[in-house]
Amino acid sequence: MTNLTDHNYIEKTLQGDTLAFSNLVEKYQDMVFSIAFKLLRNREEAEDAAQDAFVKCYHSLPKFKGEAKFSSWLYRIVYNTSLDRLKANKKSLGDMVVDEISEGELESVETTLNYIEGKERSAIIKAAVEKLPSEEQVLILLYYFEELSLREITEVVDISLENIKVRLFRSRKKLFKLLKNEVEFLKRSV
Amino acid sequence: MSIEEEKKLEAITRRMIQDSGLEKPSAGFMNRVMLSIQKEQQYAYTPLIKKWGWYIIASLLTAITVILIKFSDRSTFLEHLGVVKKIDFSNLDIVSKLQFSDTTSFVLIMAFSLILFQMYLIKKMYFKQFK
Repeated sequence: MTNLTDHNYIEKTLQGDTLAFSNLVEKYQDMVFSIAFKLLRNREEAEDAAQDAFVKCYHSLPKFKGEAKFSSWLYRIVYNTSLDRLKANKKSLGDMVVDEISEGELESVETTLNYIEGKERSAIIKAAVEKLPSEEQVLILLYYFEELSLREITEVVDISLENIKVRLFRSRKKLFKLLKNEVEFLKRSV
Repeated sequence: MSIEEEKKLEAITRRMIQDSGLEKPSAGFMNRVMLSIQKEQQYAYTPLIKKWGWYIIASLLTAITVILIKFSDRSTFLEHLGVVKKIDFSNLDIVSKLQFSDTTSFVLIMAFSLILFQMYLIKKMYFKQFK
């Protein structure tokens, strides 16, 4: 179900108050842009895709029945818009091989990350996340940042629930390995 | 990996992702979106004939076609309504000519249907071009 605030803005927009839609844009612009950026890996293209997604959303608003969350519906629009742009540019979503995570590695990486300052830690994590395949970055963003349930994620991306579980499991491990590499590089350079 | 380690990895991932925050679009992004929406609205497609208008046209055409078929061989529509009896059309003699054979009726129905279909296609084509 859509939360009350979103619902109010949607109602006002449908009644012809275009400015009410700007509240929705303001609220969701970072998440919408992040999804586009993770898929397209280029700020300009991501902004264009995010803008297209909001315009499409505005025009499709009369079709939105409120059965799903407005945010999930909007994320699906930006996800599909970005994928269309990817196809048009003939770019592909990359992949990498994952090794097993050994015992003790978890604590070592976590401890090191805790010692690093907030901004720098954030940059390290972002750098590691950006090395993941685009689709996995989006899944991680939706699941861990936006805290959507697995079922809600299926409404955004065209992937089955089981497949999402598997991909999230793999992404976690990949992300950890990438972070470990970043941390080790940092240790060596200090 | 054991279940406990898996849970720990999950918790670490969640914390890290939430720490790292979201990407932010450039300043003025929201204004650009709203400007683009407002620009599109200036040139918004408004059909010359509204949906209900098409329903009325379709109903009228259907009614005319049905009437033409029903009264083509036997008598004119006006005669059936008794209008001919009330008004003297003897000098004009148009009403008696308003008789259609089955073939003519069939051709008229076909023509109306094709015109309507063509209108629908043209409307769709222009709308697509406009978009």
